[in-house]
Amino acid sequence: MHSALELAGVSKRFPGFYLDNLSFTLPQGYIMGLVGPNGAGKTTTIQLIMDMLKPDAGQIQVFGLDLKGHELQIKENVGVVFDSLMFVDGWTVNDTERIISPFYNRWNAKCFAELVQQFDLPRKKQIGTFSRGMQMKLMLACALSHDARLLILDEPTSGLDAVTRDQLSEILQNYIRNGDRSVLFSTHISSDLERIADYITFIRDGKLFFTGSLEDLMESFCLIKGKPGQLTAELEAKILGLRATDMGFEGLIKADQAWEFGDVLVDQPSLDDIVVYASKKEGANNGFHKHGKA
Amino acid sequence: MDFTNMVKLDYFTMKPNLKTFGVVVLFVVGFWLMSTSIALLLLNCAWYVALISTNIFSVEEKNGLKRLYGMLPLRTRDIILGRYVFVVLSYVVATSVVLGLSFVVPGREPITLDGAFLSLSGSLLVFVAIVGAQMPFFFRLGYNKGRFYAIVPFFAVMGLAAIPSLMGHTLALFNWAINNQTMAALLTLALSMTILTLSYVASLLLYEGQR
Repeated sequence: MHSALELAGVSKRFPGFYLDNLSFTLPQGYIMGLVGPNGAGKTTTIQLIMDMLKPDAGQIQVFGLDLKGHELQIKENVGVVFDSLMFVDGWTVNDTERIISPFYNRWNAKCFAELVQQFDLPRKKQIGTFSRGMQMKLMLACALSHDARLLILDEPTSGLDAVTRDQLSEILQNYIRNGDRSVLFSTHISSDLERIADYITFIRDGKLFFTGSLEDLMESFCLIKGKPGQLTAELEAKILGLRATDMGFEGLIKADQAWEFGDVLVDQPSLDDIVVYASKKEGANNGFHKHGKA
Repeated sequence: MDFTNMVKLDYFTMKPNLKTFGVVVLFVVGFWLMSTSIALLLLNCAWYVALISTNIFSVEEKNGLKRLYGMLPLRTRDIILGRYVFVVLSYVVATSVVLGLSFVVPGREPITLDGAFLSLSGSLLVFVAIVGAQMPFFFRLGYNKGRFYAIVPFFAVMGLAAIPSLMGHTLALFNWAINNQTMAALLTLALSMTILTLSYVASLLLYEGQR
């Protein structure tokens, strides 16, 4: 069985930003979270996968097909949801279907109608007047109505309330149920991923910090808490991300180094903690890759 | 024929802005009242349609449609070709309407078949010169940045026209065109097609280059 998505040594340079040698694999039938702070390179990665940007180096394969030379075949099988509306705000839902459907060979009008009904989207109202949640649902309805085998979501939950985010999680879990479909879900709200993601790829400053299963990521790091006197320079050098105040310190460390910290309180971090603390230390590159080719 | 879907997409992109096209009609009607020459009417029509049809780049930018083009199973050349076909079709539709109405309304100067052919091809050349110079800038830089650079070719042409030694040649060219209307119309048509093709190739290269 092919992986749904594979990036190998992908690089892209812009003035002031360099996506450096990115490699990760999304196995078929799973949800992968693409996390990192703003400006880490998540959207650039998605644009490279969608052939909207050309990589300076590296290879991208979708369903085992090289992106170069199979763009149309791949895009027939990929659905995308962006962080904001990608349709003309003066269109209605009916207009959107009429315009988008001819581009896809496997457009399923019945499926689209069911999703529009399920999402309570008014068919004749201008979509520019829709709420953020409704606009996201319309993009999702389009993405799911052409039998896409890979769904790519670029920050779809930013600005959405908890109820809508929960609905999206449920939809995505149902979507991958048959084992044939996969999801790449880019977000900086990592709590959304903790419930549904099987794999995590964490990018920081354009560099791969971690790629592997969510369990591996969670087991690989510890959160330590201690008093100011307990933090020596030697220990501080081992902390991936530190928050120090007069009252004490908190920091993220690699789990296998926890014993070196002696009496400090060791806690299990959340995905949010890992992303926040690991993003604190600029210039550090002491992450590690559980799998992939980085 | 994937570009035909792109033409449809462009039509629907502009559909909510059809009111803007109403302004064109008002301008053309204004000139209609002032002028009795079909040639002038067609030239004005070319000018206004060129200015308005490239507004599609503004709507595209405002709505972030490049993400939609990136998502759809479309080749870059279909995006570019579809846009050129849409813009030229806008001109053809507007010119047909204006030309049709000009035959209905009385008081128009009589015009020969050769004269009509030359007027049409001259009007097409004006249209193509405007959109052909602008579109590569819009494809490369987007509407907001591109519109400033897109003015440069017009200043260049106006600068050339202001050179006294060239004015004599221009007048001689006009005289020749009036005396050889069919040949002039054919040459103008060929020049228009060349400009459009070069502009299309430039747009394709520049659009690919920005990736």
